[in-house]
Amino acid sequence: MPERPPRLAEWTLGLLLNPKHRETLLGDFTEEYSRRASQVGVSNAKRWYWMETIKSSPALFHLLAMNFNRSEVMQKLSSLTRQNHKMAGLGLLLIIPALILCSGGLALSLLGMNAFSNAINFDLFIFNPLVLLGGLFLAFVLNLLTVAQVKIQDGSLTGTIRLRGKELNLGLLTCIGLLLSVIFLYLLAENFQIFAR
Amino acid sequence: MDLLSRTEEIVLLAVYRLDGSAYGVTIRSEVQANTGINLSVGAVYVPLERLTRQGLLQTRAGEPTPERGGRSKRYYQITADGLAALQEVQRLHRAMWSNLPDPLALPEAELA
Repeated sequence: MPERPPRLAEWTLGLLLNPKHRETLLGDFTEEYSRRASQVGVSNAKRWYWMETIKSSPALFHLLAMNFNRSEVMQKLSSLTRQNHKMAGLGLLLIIPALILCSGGLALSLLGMNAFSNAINFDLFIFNPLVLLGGLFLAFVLNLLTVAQVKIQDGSLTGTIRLRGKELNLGLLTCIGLLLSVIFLYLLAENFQIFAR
Repeated sequence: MDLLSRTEEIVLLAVYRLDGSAYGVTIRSEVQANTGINLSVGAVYVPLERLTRQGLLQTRAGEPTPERGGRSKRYYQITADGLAALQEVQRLHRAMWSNLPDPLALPEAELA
């Protein structure tokens, strides 16, 4: 029974291979590995497998690019944007930190409620500006893709907005717009001391 | 006909030399044995893919073997166009080298 190559290396290699070459290339790696394992020992062969995976990676990326199927990717993307409810749900999850932060800030500024704002632990990573704004941006893009469609046809750029059945996505887009406005206004007020305190 | 790159030329020649028994592992060994160039396992497939697309090579699926973990081989065979491409490369080499003195016999100063 031939020695089995290191599983993690094989899995890593599998990630870099396109379906067209997966079987053949994994077979080549395994054949060479088996030969080395019987000739120079298993640990040496394992080292060779890892090194060869690293050495081969630029060529494997090149092969991936050569076999890149644009229409297949576009098809997957368009099927993703048809999932209105999933996009809205995912978007809502992504904007939760911004919602908490803005609600706390609004409660404090408009109603003078300290309790809500004090209950927020600002040390949590979800309140990091990068996570917060990144989440808002991602949620905005995902939901915009389900609503708006841009096509280049016969040299002209056409945009279509689909509203039917997209209420959830439109609602979320409005919500993100409001959150961004609140953040923007807050930053303006803080930086330029617009409102005297 | 497009000119072949040096790697494509070497790989095409290796496939030709192996005469029907050419697949990834044997092509790599053939290149290393004859030129000393150690191509990585993945690097052999880039010129093979390009040559196949140009119609200079054709492929057929081989049998799965236990030492390959039950995975099958892909054999490469040179086509008539591939052979013509090799002849063209050989003709070009001969034409460019003809009427030139042997470079090994030239003094160092002339080579620089």
